[in-house]
Amino acid sequence: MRKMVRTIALVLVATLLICCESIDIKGLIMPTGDVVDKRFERSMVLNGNKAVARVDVEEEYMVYVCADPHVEGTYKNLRAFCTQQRNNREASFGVVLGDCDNLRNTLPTYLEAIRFVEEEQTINSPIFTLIGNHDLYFNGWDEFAELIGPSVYWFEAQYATGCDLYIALDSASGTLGHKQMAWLREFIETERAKYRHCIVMTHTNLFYTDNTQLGSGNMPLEETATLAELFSKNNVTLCLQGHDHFREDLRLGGVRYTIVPTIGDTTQRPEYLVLHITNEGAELQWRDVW
Amino acid sequence: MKRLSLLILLITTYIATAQGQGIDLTISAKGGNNTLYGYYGAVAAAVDYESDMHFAIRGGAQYSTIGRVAAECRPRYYHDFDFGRVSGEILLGYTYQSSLNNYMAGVGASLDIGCIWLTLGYYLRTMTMGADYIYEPFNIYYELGIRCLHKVEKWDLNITFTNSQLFEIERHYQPSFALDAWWYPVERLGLQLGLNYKPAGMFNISSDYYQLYGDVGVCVRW
Repeated sequence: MRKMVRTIALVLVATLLICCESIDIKGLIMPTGDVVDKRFERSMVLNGNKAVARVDVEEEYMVYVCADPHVEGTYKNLRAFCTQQRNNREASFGVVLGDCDNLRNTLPTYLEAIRFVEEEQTINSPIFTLIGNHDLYFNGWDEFAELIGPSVYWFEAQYATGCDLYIALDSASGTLGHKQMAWLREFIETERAKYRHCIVMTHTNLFYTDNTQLGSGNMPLEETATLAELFSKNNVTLCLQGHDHFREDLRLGGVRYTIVPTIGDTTQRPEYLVLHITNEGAELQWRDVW
Repeated sequence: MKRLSLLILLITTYIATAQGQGIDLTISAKGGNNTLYGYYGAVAAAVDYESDMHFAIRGGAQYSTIGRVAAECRPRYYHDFDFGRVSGEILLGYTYQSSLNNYMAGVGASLDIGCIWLTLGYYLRTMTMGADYIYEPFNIYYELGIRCLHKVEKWDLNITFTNSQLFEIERHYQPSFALDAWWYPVERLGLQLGLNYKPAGMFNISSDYYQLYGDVGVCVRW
């Protein structure tokens, strides 16, 4: 009897480790792809250590932001988000804050969802993608780097008399790691003053104010303190986050921290965020997809 | 901030010494590697007092070279049964690091059956920086420990899985694994050696290395 129970348990564990299509159990105890330091190094090669894009904008402009689409087979909410963004002439670009896909090998489906569709969409405005923890499952980093690009990068929104800075971070493992943190510290301290606004984007959260995701990890407390001080001292305008599937708008040390909820097809009320960027800062407007 | 930590340490020490029996004073130092800060060290002083009136208290303060100050105090009421000890505790904690203050308060309960102990509790956290504050109302703390040598005199070897080690009360998604060995060569003196590993992103199922440290301590009993 005991032997049978042991055999069944072993078969169950092996099945979970090998066959599960949506949860990479192995990642609970060991990294599922390159560790964050390695991903950072590869990202800096991929982004050429310079801004990946310079988007021309007006002095006041709009940015569309969504998070956690978790694309599996369908992507109607994400496609609707892209269409609404690309049919708005004031929307300069969009951002997806990570967790793009949910199953093995579904990143191409995500790319299909954000593709410019000429028949439905009028302006081919860019959409920037962050990496989330789900994008790392099943050694997903190689596919992400190949199909999307770096997980750490920055771009500029340039208007007639100045520029805004957008920084995308790789927090998919719940920590920025040594190299990314050292780079971020130096980058913000030397570059921030050149820009009107600085908007930092990360998938996982600095703060844990609700429990909708129960045990889903964010950053350790020491890292929260370090980042909060760095952002506060360098006058970061806004920190955008996903991961938590719950809308939140917080303020600490003069910095605004906003969590964007999921836009996944299984959610009951999919919504996204529209940022109105002006000289004063960023105004937030939440919009239902449907 | 350092004053508050010192105050908590002094209060804990005072309560313990005022009762005058069953006191452990542990002075420890630790050194380790953290993915953000590289190599770092810390020193700590902790007092553990247990009276025969079902009352006990544990607390102390720690300073780390990353500029982190922590203080903690856990008074508890305990009762011994045939199967082991059941206790209820109040958790009060404070940390300061990188301009961020953390205040924690909670309640918990423990069951200790000798070879295994389990603590479960709930706590609230408030973070402040300047005039702003953020309230984190959903935190569970836990500790599952195994005493590998609980029937061996003069030696202890404990394995723990916890998010609430003394001076390191993390959010519930951030556990660490610890291996602690104790040796009591004489009745009033103990030596401690420990190893602690903390991964990041474990419950994201995309784990990564975060921290590893070792610590040594001397415990005096009277």
